[in-house]
Amino acid sequence: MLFFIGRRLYQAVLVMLTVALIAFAMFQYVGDPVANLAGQETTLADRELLKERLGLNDPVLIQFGRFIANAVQGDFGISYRMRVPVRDLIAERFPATLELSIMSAFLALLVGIPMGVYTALNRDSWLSRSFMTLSLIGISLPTFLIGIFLILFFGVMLQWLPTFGRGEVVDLGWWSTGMLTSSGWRSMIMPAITLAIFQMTLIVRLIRAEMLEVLRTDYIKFARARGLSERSISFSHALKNTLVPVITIIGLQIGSLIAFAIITESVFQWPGMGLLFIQAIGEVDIPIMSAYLLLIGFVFVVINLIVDILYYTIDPRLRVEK
Amino acid sequence: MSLLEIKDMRVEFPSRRGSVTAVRDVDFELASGEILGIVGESGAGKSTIANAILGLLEPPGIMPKGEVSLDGERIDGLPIELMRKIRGKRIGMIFQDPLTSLNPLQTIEEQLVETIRVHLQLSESKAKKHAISMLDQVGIPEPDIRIKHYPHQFSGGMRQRVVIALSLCAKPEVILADEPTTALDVSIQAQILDLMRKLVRDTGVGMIIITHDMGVISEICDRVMVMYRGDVVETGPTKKILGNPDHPYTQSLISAVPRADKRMDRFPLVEYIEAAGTPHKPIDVQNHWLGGARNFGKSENEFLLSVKDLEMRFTTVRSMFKSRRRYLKAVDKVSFDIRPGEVLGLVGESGSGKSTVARLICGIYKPFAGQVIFDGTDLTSLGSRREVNVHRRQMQMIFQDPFSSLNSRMRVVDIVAEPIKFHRLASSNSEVLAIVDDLLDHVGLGAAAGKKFPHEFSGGQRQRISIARALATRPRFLICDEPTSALDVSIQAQVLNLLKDLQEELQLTMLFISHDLPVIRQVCDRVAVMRDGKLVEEANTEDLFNKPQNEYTRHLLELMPRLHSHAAK
Amino acid sequence: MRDFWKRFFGGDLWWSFKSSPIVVIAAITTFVMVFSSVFANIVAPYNIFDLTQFELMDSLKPPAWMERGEISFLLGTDDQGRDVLSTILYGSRVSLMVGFFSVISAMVLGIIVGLVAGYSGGWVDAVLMRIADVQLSFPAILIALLVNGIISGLLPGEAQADLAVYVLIIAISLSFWVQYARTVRSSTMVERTKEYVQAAQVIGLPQPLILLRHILPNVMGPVLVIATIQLALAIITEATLSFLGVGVPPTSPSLGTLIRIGNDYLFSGEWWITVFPGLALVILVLAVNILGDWLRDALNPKLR
Repeated sequence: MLFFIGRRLYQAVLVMLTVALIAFAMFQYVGDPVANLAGQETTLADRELLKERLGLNDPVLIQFGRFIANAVQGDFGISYRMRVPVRDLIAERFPATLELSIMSAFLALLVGIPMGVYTALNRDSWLSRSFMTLSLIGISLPTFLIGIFLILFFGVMLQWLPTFGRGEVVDLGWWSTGMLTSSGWRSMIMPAITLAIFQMTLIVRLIRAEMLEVLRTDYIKFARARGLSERSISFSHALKNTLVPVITIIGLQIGSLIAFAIITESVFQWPGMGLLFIQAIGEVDIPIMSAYLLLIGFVFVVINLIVDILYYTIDPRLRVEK
Repeated sequence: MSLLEIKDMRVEFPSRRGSVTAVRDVDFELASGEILGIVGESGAGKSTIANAILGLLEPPGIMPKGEVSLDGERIDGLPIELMRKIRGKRIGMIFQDPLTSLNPLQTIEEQLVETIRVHLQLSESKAKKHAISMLDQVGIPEPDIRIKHYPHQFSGGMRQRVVIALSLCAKPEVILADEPTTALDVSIQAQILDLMRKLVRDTGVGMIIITHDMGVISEICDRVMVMYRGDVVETGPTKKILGNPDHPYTQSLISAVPRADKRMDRFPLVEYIEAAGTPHKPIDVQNHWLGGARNFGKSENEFLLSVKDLEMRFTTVRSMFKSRRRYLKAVDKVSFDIRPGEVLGLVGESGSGKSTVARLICGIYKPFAGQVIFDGTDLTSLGSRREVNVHRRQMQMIFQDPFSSLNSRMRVVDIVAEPIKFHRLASSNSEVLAIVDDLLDHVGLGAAAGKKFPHEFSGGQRQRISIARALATRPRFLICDEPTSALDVSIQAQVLNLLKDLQEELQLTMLFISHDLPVIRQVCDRVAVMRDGKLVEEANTEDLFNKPQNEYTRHLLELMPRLHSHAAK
Repeated sequence: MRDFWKRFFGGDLWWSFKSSPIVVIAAITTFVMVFSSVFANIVAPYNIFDLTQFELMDSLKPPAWMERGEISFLLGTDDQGRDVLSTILYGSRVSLMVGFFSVISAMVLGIIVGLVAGYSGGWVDAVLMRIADVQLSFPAILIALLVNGIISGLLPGEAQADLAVYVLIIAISLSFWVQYARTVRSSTMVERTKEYVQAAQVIGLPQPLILLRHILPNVMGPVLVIATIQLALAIITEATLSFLGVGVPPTSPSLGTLIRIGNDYLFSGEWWITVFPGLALVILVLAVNILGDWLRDALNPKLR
């Protein structure tokens, strides 16, 4: 077990280093940090001083080391445009994105998994056919269009739900939450659905495909030939075996919700990290871009680690003692 | 009254191109304590019968006609709830492949206890006790410990024992075993068959064994039912069917089984089955392209091929540190020589390293150590591919699996022409095409075969295409890696005859690899026996069969089913 | 050749196509949309790039069947007085072109990487697949945004608008190649051990020839299925990027750009500027997805 996790940790560090390298390379080669930080009237001498202070005259390797050391402590530099430490910007926006993503993840899993299992077990019923048609439409609808259509219908025409922002938020010191007010919840509904639909359809289709595969295996046929009940075959034999390959992909999907939130946030003007990032791209604000990249990489690595441990507990074949 | 009775059974698989009848007019009975064998070649519909009895036909299969009675009660067409009380409880089933028959995520205990408790009203702890005694009964050592293990912790033979325990745990009256030993090695097969026979004698269940293997039939069955393309051609006591069958199909089927007891020149052909592809507008081999240019400069070497201390390792545990790496010695210091024109047989069970030896000789794998000396040249020492190719061209291989050994995206003509073109063995495109036509004709396919794709041919025909491709480089040395083990016996006989003819005609030198001792006896001049990567014995064929020196060889020979001697009793 | 068509129309693929009306409708829809957008300059009622063909006076007219609507502007006009139907046709052309070329370039890159990784194995494989893993952990849209942002940051301002389409194609294909690479790699690893490849080795064929002539044709099946599904995804990605304002500039609008423009008018009631391009996008993507789904099932023998 320890060896297994150790290996995974080592891989995780490798992934993070790669991501850090890309983020660092962006700093190095895209745009000129000095020109971005200095104003029009800064003198040449001041620029040189700034360059020295930022350590841009050091060897690249040392700069990279410093970059990582800073990043580990949460220091991502200062935004070129807003002249505020990136750390503060992200800390301010992070709760909004996380609440939205977690809501959507719940929605996607709670609806997606049962639907996937149902469509696999009742392949030819009209209900699963209509589920499949819905899921096909689901993956054909671009996220931003879902948002726009929802806004048009529930926001503009029916005027039931707010069309932008988080509503009232309660400040808990280091965390501002919209989950404690009714306007916060009402504001959450449309963005959460928008963000969840694509993942949900993917999960439905994935579970269905894998489960159909498992239902064709010999051990399912053998279980039938032993007279076990359909219920036991479907759930304790087939579903568990389905989850083994599916769990990794679902983990990745859920992880990618935070990044997918970019689109939803910009449709609903949701004040999260995605909105920050998309503005940063428009303005080539490299520190924000690279900090965002590192954060997404970190979330991914953590989720992957959790998934691996889950995997380990489900699949005995990984626990072979040699 | 018989235990199980099938009357007038018919099974159809409707498809858009009309209905395919898999089984028709099947009638038979099974008594308690009896073992009935259903034998037939692939596509005969044997497995379909077992599935139909349990109501487990693969969709879209249906049984439009027929009766299945268990103890005098009709069980066909029962509602699913009642059928479930019969499956496992009164009729148990054993599947072919033990590696895929068990749920990989549950322990043996979970699977046994669930099955037991579904059918027998037992408490959890009693069910577990019963499960342990079942494992003990099927010969699994330390059952109280092993029951906690997962399927992947058992070997293939042990897993099949677990599968048998699962099928028997609710004390069924009938057992259907579908090719129960096909996926196993000979020695394991013998153990499993012993076990099954013992269980039948001890518990008095009735058993149906479905198999393609006459050897299994002769070992274990009381009665035999022979099937051919969905029809029952003959039913009778084993002795009668094997020794003195009435139906011409059964006669030819039995005569096609390679004899273990004596060597014969050719295999009797089974015309009943597939137009035996009687070939060749006889081409004059000596003056034809195929036979021409065969004087490779009269070799003064005594041996055409010598293998010296050949070694091959596969890494099983990777590590950065040399000391922590683990290897499997697939081939361990193997040496042998083959004279020009000789056929050397290489025998061993799966995992003995015989196929690896073949791949080392023809350069698919690189040896870890040792030499492959072909016609005086050490191939392992040659550097450039160009040099190697000069020799490689004279050495070709025929593979085991007729379905994966041909590129399904290429036409047959392109498959056979590829080596000729690559080695520039013909001067023009039209000459290449003429040669390909002749080759296809010579192996008994007819020149028209060239225009088709491989999937339009049967297994035996595909093996002929493989042979034509191998001949297309005009080789002097041919490696045959289990060339007939994926084929039905009747087809096997034809393909082996073809290989024998070609060997004589072209004075080919051959390395013939097989796990099937009777086949080896029919084909080879000399035999080498391999076990766990090592060569344990090498002798002239008849010497080896008559007075084996090595313990392991003797063991293998004992396990060899002696169909013909048995029948003659 | 006649032989080929005979085989094709007698085969299972054609049969499964013919027997499913939804798939036939999807195929016809795809064809009509591709055709009318490729020949937009002939099919469309107005040329949206010809400034003389539209006037501000006509701006924000609703569809023809509504009050104030005009039959000459079937689906209404946008803020600049351009006919919405015409902008959709020209917009689909850009969307389809970007989608198509991104898929092609992603496919070529992915196939090469996959073949090399799958056949050679060892450290080459390890390095290539590690890169693929890292990339796969980020959603394609994020990669595309990043690549797009970085390239735009490197380009001088005046070139950005002109090269936007190419930048977009590069960005999307760089975010999509991994799928192909992984699929091709795993099928290559399966094919590599098959006996027909060993037979080619025994004949003496050099590795590149074995890869191209024997393995490549055998791994193309799944690649084609992915390509169809990816085409739909690429069109969505392009639309999303353009909607986010980092894709195609308004001067040569794609469907995404049109939706972005219309989005500003959503609250003032001019819904048609957004909704019609949006519907066109959904119908196009849905049709392609249906075809891709059908192709995957039809080519998978296990499902028959």
